[in-house]
Amino acid sequence: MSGSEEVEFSNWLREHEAELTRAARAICFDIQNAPDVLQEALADVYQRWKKIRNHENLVAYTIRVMISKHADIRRSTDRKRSEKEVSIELVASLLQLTDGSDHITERMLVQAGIASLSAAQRAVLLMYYDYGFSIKEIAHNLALPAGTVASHLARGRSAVAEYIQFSPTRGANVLERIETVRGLDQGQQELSERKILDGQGES
Amino acid sequence: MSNDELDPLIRREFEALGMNIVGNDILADLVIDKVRKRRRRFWFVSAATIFAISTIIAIGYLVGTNSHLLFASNSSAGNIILSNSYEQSSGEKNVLSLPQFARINVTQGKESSRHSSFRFHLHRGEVIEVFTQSKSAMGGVIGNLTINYVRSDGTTTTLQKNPIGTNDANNEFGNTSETGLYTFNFDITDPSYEGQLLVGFLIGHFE
Repeated sequence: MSGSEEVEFSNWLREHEAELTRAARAICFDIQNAPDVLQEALADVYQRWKKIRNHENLVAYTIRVMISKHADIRRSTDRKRSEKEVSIELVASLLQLTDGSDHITERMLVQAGIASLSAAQRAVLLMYYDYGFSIKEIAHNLALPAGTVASHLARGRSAVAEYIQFSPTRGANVLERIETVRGLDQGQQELSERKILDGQGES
Repeated sequence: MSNDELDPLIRREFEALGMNIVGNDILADLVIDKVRKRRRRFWFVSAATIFAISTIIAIGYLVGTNSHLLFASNSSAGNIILSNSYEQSSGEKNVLSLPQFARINVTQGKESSRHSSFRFHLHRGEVIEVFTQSKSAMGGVIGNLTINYVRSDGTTTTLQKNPIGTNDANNEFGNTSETGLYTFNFDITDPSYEGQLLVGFLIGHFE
């Protein structure tokens, strides 16, 4: 890599550093992993700098690389946790933690909803809400089908909605609702246990 | 909950991600350094792999072709398979060096498969250990191993003759009073014998 390319890359990075850091935070939704993911993605970008320096949207390209790097890092450190499910325990502890401030509670519930999404889904939300891109533009930038982008967006909204229902500002009797959800879960569990027992009795 | 209610909440969180971003002046240097290290590791691993493969190929070539022993088989039947020859170890006297070995397929009714000949160029003072293993013999003697010295005019003198039995056996040949060609002939005389005969040659040296 020649010296002029190093300078070119450094200048580009300096110009977009804040934007990329923000994107890394959005994709990871984890302040500890974000710098690692960003550095790994930038290393890949720099390695291919000769080929991609004239890319029409280098930031979007880097975001795509970050999504893939985030998946790699999570796979390698076995940090994958169950996604797309409302964690009632998490909600209960958040409510306990933020007791007395409805505003903070609501924000933490929204964050929990966003954190439950995949990196690609969060990247779609970032581009939609932060960059103000249309679904078509996001699809173009992330090299995804428009249908997938729309689905990611819908999933993002529904995840947040699932968490935000527990917000005190929404007029919810939170403890009652949590107990209801827990009761439903328990009821389902008992029902499946009974089915298993019935099955054993018949056999 | 409608999208109109949800969108501001989500937007607020994504906007909050942009707060408190402190510029990292050495980020570009860190990335460039990381790529350099990655490249260096790649070249090192590539070079080590190429070197290892080349070494293995070179050793295989030298071991397979550059032999002090001139190995040859006179068997025209093509019944000797998997034979190799190795260079004599020059630094280790009185210690047997790398082996020559062969697997001879003996077939009933195919006379040529019953006679195999190995010719070596031996120096004076060298000694050969010949190992034989008859895989399918039922009992008794199945043939002979005859060792001849070949003169420059092509005439031969028999120096040693050993029976080939049903058990594993090793015969030593140390009558190398002359430097020259020696033939080791395996003749299967038992007409009922059919199967494989494994033979191995090891070379040593008298002080």
